[in-house]
Amino acid sequence: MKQTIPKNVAKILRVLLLIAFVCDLLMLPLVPALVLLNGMEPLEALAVSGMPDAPIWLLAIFLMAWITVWSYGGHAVMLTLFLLFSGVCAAVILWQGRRVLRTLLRGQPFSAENAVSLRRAAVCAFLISGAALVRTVSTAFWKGPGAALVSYTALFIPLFAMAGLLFLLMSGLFGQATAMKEENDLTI
Amino acid sequence: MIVVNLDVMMAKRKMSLSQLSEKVDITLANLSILKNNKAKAVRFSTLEAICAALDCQPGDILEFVPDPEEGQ
Repeated sequence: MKQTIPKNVAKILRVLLLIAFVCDLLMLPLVPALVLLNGMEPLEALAVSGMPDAPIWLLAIFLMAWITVWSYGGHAVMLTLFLLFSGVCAAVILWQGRRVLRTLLRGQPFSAENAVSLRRAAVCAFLISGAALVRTVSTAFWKGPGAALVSYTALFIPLFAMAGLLFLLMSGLFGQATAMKEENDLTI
Repeated sequence: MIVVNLDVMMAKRKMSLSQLSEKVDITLANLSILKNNKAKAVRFSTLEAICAALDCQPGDILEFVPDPEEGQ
């Protein structure tokens, strides 16, 4: 009974992580267009406009945005790069989470590969935190420190730094648990 | 390092690994780990059972061999 509860939780979590991972990958190509259009509202307006060729227009906007976004100046370029970089790092974190849950479902949670996966996730979390710091500093130069500190990006810095430390701690714990398990397995 | 001379003692007593595993009540896999010097530790209870089964002393099974890397 005690064994089945964590496995069921792991199964649910694995599905949720897969959904988040797929959503993340689907959103990445849309980043430049969303930056240029400043959100989803203009696209929603186009989608519900009833135009027969709206899907073609949407596709054209998303494709063109990849070319034109780089000529829109510092803020748009910085935001695009930040969102793309964070999106890729988040995808890596989600994938590593799925790997950890897979070993849990296999019944081998204390394996060296989990320690490696968690270390990779920690590195990605630190990278997101670092990217958020760069973006916050650049926003502080463009729009002033007040605007930079109340943005969601400023919240990413401590949030992902703490997540990175937590992943690092868990990686160390998993490494220690793996060593203890190996010693226990090899004690006859 | 500690070397396990289980195979020597088994040969002296003309006992196979499966016979010993039955007598000592240890799985064949664990006994193989012990025989092949892959084990990291041995419980006193296991050592006692092996000594009883092979009618020998712990010193007959375990031997200290100086590590060549540590000696240099």
